[in-house]
Amino acid sequence: MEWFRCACCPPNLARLLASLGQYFYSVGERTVYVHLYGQNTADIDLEGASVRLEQQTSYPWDEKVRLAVQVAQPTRFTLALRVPGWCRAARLHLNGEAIALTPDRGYQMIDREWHAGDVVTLTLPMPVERVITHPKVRQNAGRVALQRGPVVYCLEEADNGPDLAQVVLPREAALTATFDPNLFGGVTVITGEATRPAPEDWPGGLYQPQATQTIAASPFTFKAIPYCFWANRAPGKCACGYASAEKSPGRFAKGAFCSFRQGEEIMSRPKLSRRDFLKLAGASAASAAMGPTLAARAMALPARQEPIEISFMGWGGVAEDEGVRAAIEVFEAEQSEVKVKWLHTPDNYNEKLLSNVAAGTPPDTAFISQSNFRTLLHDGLTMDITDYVVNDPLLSQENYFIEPQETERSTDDNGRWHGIGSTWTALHTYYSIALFERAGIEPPDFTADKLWDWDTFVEAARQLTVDENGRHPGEEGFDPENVATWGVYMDTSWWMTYEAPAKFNGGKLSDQGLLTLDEPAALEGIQAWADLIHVHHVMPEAVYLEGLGMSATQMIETERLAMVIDGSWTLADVTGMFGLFGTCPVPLMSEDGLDPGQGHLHSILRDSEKAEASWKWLHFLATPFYQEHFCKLGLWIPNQHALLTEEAMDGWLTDGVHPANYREFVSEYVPQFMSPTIVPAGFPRAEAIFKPALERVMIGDARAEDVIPPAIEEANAILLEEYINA
Amino acid sequence: MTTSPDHMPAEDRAGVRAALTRGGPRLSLSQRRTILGYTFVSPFILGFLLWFIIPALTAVYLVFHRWNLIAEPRFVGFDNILRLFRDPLLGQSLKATLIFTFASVPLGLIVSFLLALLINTKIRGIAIFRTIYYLPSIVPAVANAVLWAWIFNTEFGLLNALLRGMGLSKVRWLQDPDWALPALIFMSLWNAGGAMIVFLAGLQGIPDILYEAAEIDGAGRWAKLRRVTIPMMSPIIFFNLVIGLIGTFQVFTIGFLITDGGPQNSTLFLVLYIYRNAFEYLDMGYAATVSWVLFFIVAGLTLVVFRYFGSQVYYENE
Repeated sequence: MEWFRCACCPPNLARLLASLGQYFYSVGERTVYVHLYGQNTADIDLEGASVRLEQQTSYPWDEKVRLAVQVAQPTRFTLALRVPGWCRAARLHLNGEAIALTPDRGYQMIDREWHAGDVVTLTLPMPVERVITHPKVRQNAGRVALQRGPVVYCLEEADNGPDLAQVVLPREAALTATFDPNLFGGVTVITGEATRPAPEDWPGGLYQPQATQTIAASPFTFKAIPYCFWANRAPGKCACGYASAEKSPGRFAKGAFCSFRQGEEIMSRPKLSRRDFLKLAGASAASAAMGPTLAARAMALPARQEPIEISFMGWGGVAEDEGVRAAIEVFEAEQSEVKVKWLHTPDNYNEKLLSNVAAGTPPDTAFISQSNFRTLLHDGLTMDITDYVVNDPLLSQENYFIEPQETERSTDDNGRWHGIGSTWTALHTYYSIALFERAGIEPPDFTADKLWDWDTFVEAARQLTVDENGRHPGEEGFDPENVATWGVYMDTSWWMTYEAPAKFNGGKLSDQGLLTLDEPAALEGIQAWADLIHVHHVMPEAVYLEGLGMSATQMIETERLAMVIDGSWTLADVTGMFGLFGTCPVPLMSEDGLDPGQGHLHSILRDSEKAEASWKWLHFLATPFYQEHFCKLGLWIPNQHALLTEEAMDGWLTDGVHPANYREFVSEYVPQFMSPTIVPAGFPRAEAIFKPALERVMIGDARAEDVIPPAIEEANAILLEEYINA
Repeated sequence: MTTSPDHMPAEDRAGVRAALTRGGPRLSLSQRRTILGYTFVSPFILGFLLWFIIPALTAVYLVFHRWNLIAEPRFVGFDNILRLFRDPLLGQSLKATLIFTFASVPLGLIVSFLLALLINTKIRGIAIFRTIYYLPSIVPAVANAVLWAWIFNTEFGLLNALLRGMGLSKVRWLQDPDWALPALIFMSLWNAGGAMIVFLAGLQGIPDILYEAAEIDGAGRWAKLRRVTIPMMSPIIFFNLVIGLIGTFQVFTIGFLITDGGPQNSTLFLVLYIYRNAFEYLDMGYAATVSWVLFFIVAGLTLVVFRYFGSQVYYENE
């Protein structure tokens, strides 16, 4: 069996099965809640009294659930039965007597004294239902889905042949549910008569005048199986929505427009081509694959509407500016409803953004730095886009983003989405190939079993550090004042790198809105990095680099430094210097060690009156196309799986920009070891309080455990007062 | 012939009158003059209202509100004022600002006064020297910052090179919390040229007859300086003191550009702290409150200076 690149589903499935029993019942104050129906027996301890519930049913195939209550003594309690939302005509009997249903928030309460042998029978009639979507959901316009009871059905190629997207279900078609004991160990299937278009003598080509073509509807008997069972027999496509011929057959094309092939995309996860992607996103009429459809649709379109213009504010250098402009061009070429005005703001971005907000002229969409995201979210700047995200056929796919990292950084504490990450960047090590070769040190690899542990790392750094007289730290007469080549350097002076030493050791910057750099793992990690300077003498102080006026990568170039831990974005700066630089992972100091990750978010601003149009743009930005541009430059690494397939990586990993081992870095190391730096709301003010303590540790003036906890406590008091309790 | 309305030819006068009275009642001459007068001063009045009075009133309003630029301002009563008393960074920023002011203002006065005396000599090419001394004042702040960051550079800076030449150990001018503020005070002397020019103008305004009379009375160089120059210069010195005090309290650029308030908040000046509250912490209310603290300190100090130094000032025409 093919293994999943992101090994998330198999263990989650195992976990679900193991904990399934816990989901059936829960107990409140003298109340037993029955959440799920299925054949089972449960012994429940209800405030000392033991209650046994026996469910007899073949739900979800059969409509009857028989629930027998067994108690040692007559016991008074409330039995709360869930009445499923799909059921329009539930009936309830207690010991054979009908009870009127008056569900409270989805639960029917039966409060009485229960005796042994009481029997409750819940009947949930299960006609085959045709389910339609809100008419405004374009992708589903003219389509129906089949549902029986709680089960959604689909057509599978194995039963119905190819081209399922074209299947039309006549409104009057009879739908028959039959139990098939031989299929999947016994499931109910639905059969009925449907049609599919059978073009006679199509002369070829994508488009033909409608007048010259007769497209007959060829009837066939379809068989629908529960959606959850599809792809269990043979690889094939499936469709769970079918065109519904409601009007005259001449307008058949309406529903066939939308291609429901998403199942295939998820399972084999090929690289989404630009065209596939557009089909999936339903982003453009021009991208529809079917010619007649296009013609029919174009005729039905009302008079062309004026495009809506939205504004998009962001920062960035030349490369980013060009990338965004190119993206806007493509976006506007693909659709004519939304135009984007790019407000490029390279300097003082945050101040300018907020000034625009205060002046009552906020942009509709904007870059938000991951460091500001929670503060601005807390202040109410960003729009809640959860409904858009979870209802989006593309973005809501389970494996669309690298998870759980994307959800962790883009949602608030209640799981509401307020932006979508543009990308990821992480920290890794850039090393001097020449110095490593001369010292005979083999750099570690980006695969989990080959990472360096802390001692190996420190020892390598020691061997690489050399003073003017050729001595290494720890040797007799080593002169830390006159070092010719330093072993390693990491700038620890900003939010992502405050977290880095802590995170390498299993700590983190914050949790639940409060700073956690005072936890033991974090303190230990920070102190270990300070020790690299003051105990091991393998890392120069920040002052040294500032003094030199060289960037760390320039120091590697001139062999004054052997390793620097820096952002993956720096790759764009060292392009074309691959004889000099290699990349390898950061040293992880403990089993729980992780690598901080970040990337700005794209958000819709709360005040935007053009939410729909803004979402279209945000959606576009979340597609592989936009990100790929920056990935090619070495600035970004993908946050979506579509760019991590072998095929996709062949497309954007670029010789001369990405080192040979970047394939492992982006596709294995990042999904596994990168964890976003979560910067809590109110961080700037807190930072001014705790940063001095951190600085003291790094210059060797104090020990982490002495000065950081009180500083973090003081900073957290402010966060608590101003942000958490406010 | 002049062109004021009273001396215009009759037909012109009629035209002006028509222009002034078109569509309204006839105005008397004095009324017209009043309107013209206010029209001419209106740029100032408008500017004063728009850029001073309205912002100041807004700042009063903000003291009692919480406003993050995003949501509507929310009334919080005296919260912002009470926060002043338990804000550790406010104390630190006050300390840094006061030390900076009380060190750099007197030092700056002395240095610029001495420079003014120096370049008030009548030698060939003095204009070149004056230009050289004044030049640093017109160097843009950012260029200045880059220059001084290099001078103070721990490893390769000019100052540490001098120290090393004298056999002393290096000082981390901008990274050591004990040295960063003195370094910035030292650096502020670089801009003494502005005050120097004002002093120079003052020195050249002292009539030569006073020096001649003093010489006849047997005064030496020191006595002339002490008894003639300094008393005659006292209004200028006082002016430079007050302007320097007000300006220095609002020091921002060097703390923002060179040290970013650090190390360990040792150069977190009050205005930098206000800026951070406003634009980094998104707390306009508290920023306005701290601004008022700054205002009262500057106003109070200016009052004190007027009371105690004002009486020492000699005004020639009083």
